[in-house]
Amino acid sequence: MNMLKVVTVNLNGNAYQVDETGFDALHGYLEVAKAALAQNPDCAEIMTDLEQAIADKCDTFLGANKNVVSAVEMAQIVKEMGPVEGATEDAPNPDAPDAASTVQTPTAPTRRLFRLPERGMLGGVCAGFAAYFNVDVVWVRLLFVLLTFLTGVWIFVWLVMLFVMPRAQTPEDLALAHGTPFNAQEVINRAKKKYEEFSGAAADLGRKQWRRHEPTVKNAAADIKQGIDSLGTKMNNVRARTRARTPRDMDAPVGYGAQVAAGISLPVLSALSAALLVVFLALLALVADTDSVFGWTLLPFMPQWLAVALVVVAYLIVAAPVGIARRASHRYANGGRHFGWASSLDGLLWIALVAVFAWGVYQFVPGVSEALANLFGLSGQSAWAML
Amino acid sequence: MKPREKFTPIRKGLLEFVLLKVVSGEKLYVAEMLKRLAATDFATQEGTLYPLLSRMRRENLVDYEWQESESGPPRKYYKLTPTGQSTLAELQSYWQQLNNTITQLGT
Repeated sequence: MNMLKVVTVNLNGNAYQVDETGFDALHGYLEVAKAALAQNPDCAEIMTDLEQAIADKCDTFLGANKNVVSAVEMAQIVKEMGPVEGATEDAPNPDAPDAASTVQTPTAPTRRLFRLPERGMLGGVCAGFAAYFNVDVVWVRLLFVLLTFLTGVWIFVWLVMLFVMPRAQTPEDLALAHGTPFNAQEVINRAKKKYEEFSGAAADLGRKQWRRHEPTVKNAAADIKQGIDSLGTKMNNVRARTRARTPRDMDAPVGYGAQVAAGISLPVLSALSAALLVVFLALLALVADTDSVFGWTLLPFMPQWLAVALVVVAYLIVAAPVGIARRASHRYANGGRHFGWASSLDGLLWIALVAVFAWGVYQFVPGVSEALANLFGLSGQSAWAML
Repeated sequence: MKPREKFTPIRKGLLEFVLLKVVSGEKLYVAEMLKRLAATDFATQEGTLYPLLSRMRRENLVDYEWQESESGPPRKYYKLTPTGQSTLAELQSYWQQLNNTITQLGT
C-alpha cells in the first residue's frame, strides 16, 4: 500500500491529524458550509459549532494506537454532518437563491500551465501539458520523445519548461491546470475521484506492476519529501500540544529557532542549487556539442541523446533533495508560510549566484564557450524556429 | 419503514416545531437531540441543526448555556425561552386544529 501524507488541522482549538485525501474532503465541506452561511449573522458561531462537532466525531475514530483520521472515516464524518443549510429565513427569501447562485456559479474557467510533479514521471511537464490540453499524458510523452529523437533540441525545450512552468501546489492550482472551475464542491468531487482511483489502483495488479517499475528517481525524491513533510507535521504537533489554542491558520507558524536555522541554511542551499544548475548546464552543453566531457569520450555505442538524457537524470537525482530542502527552508525562514520576504530575497540571491557561476564557468572552464557558440551558432536558429 | 421522498417538505417544515418540543423537557445538547431524533422520521444532521438552532436563538425561541462535560470541551445546552414555550403551545393547538380539519375532510 501507498503511504499517504498527513495534514494537521485545527478544529476549534484542537489539533487533529487527517490524511491528505480526508483533508481535501474536510476542507471542501467547511468551505461549502462557510459559503452557504455567508449571509448568516451567526456564521462564525455556527462554523465553530460545526468544527467542534467534526472534532467530536473524529475522537470516536481515534484511540491510543491510532492518531490519524483516514479518508474513509472523514468521508463518513462529512456524510454524517450533512449539507449545511444556509437560508437565514424560514420562508424562501428572494436573496437566498441569489446568494446560492453566486456561490455555485463558477468563476470563468481559465487555464494555466502548471507542472504536476505528482502525476509525472520526472518533473510533471508532460502531465501539465496533458492537463492543459485535456489529453492522456501518454500521448504528450510520446510526442516529446519522438520529437527528441528527430531533433535533439526538444530535450532543451523540456528543460526550459521544467524551470519556467510553475509547480501546482494548491487544489486551486490543480483546478486551473485542468481549466475546470474551482469551487469547494469541485474539491470534494476531485477528492472523491482521487480516492476511487486510489482504491481502484490498489486492486489492479497491472498498475501495481507498473508502479514497481517506476523510475527510482521519483521514489527517492518522494521518500525524502515524505520524511521532511512528516518532520514538519511532527513539529507542528509538538507546537499544537504545548499551546491550548493555535491561530486558525493552515500554514502553521514555526518556532523562532527553526526560523533562524533556516535563515542560515538557506543561502548555503541556494549556493549549492545554483552551482548544481550551472554545472549541469555546462555538462549538457559539452555533451550535446562534442559527445565528450573533458576529453572523456562516450562509449561508442551510446547515442548522443542517451548521454543527454543521462545527464538530465543525474542532475534531477542530485538536485531533487537540494530543491526539497530549499523549499522546506523557505517555509521555516518565512515563519511558516510558503511565500514571504525570505523566499523573495533568496530567489534574488539564487539568480545572482547562477549568473556569477555561469560567468565563471563560461570564462574559465575549457570547451564550454566553444560548445555554446557551436550549439547556438548552428542549431540555435532551428531551435528557436521550433519553439 | 422508509419515509417517502415526496413528504420531505412536510418533515422539513415541521422540524422547528419538533425541535421546540424536543428541548421543552430537559436541557439538551445537539448530539443528544440528534440521537433522540435519529429513531424517528425527523432524523436530521448537524449541518441542518446548527443553522436552525442559531436562527431560533435569534428569534428568541431557545437559548443555551455552557456546561462542562466530563470528556472534552464544554457543551451548549439548549432550553426553551418563555417566548419559545408560548410559541410551542400555539403550534401544538394549531397542529391539533389542522389534524381535526384533515380528519373531517375525509368524511
